[in-house]
Amino acid sequence: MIELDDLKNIWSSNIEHDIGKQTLEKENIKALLRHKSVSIIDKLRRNLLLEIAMFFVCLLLIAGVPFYFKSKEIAIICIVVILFTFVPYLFYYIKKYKELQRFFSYHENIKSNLELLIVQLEKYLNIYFWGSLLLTPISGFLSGYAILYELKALGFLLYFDMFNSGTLSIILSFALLLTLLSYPIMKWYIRKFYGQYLEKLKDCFKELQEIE
Amino acid sequence: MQQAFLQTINQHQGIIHKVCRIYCNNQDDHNDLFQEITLQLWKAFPSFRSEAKISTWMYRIALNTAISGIRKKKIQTTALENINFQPVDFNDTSTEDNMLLLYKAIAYLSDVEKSIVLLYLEDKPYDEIAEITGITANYVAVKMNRIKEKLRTLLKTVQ
Repeated sequence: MIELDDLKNIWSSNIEHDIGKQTLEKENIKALLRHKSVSIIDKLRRNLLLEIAMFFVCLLLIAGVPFYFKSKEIAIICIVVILFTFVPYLFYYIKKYKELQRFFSYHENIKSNLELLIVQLEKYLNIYFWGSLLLTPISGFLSGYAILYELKALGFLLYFDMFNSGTLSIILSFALLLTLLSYPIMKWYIRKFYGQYLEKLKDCFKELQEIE
Repeated sequence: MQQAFLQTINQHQGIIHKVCRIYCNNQDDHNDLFQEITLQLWKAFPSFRSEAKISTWMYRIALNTAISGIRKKKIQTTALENINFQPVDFNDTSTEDNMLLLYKAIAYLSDVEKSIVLLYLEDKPYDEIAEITGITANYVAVKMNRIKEKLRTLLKTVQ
């Protein structure tokens, strides 16, 4: 019967020959350093940077809305939205980005590294989920308003008061419906792109805990 | 610093290749993982203290990268019954067959088990395996027994 010691003998007598064929020269190793890392932290960092950029573009777009509609009420709504959601979120995202830039857990042992990665990934997924969920009613509300405004400008809905409680309720309901619809979509999206990976990390961590 | 790093990697690249060999089933994956490990080592190099053992440091980063990395291509896991195992005579000089059998058997282990087996095959003492994995030496022994049992069952099936 083969024992692990047999395998150890096979390994020790063959591995050097086996990997010897793959040896790289210094110049080849140097060339590798010019590539982009595909580690989860680097990926999260890049995604966060992309989201910061998207947030910034949205912020500029919303800041431009009052100039387009030339409406005092819309300007007030936009300022409130920018000050109470976009600006704090943007600062929060930048803070998280800086944290990820400093984060490096690979010099820890395997168990600690897994634990740190799980915490970071869960934290990021929470930010991503709630951030996206928060933006949905805001964008729903603003686009609902924009659609009604345009319809009125085109001559439709002439007797429609843009700022009475009925209109506000309709737009708020529309925003709420969008949020409810986006909830399962966001869950699915996060699960599809990160959920399985997170499960894998948790399984590995559990495996190391299991034996204690 | 880059020169010192290149010198270190050049001297010890065998460690990275061994980790790649254990975790990857094809050359493309091997190359991708080698590159990722090298990048992570480069990132960690400024904080490497020379009093630490270079191989322990390298194994720790390489194994962390392999275990927690996202593989671009899904690892091909062939069904056990589809593997063309041949009865192996260990006195036989057909070393390539023996190595193939070893790799195939290891492919059935979990990522964590692979790391422990690799360190065991590399003749690392339990204390060092414990230092790299983050579990105590006693539990390394427990885990090794389980892995041995798993491999024994696997090899019995195929012989």
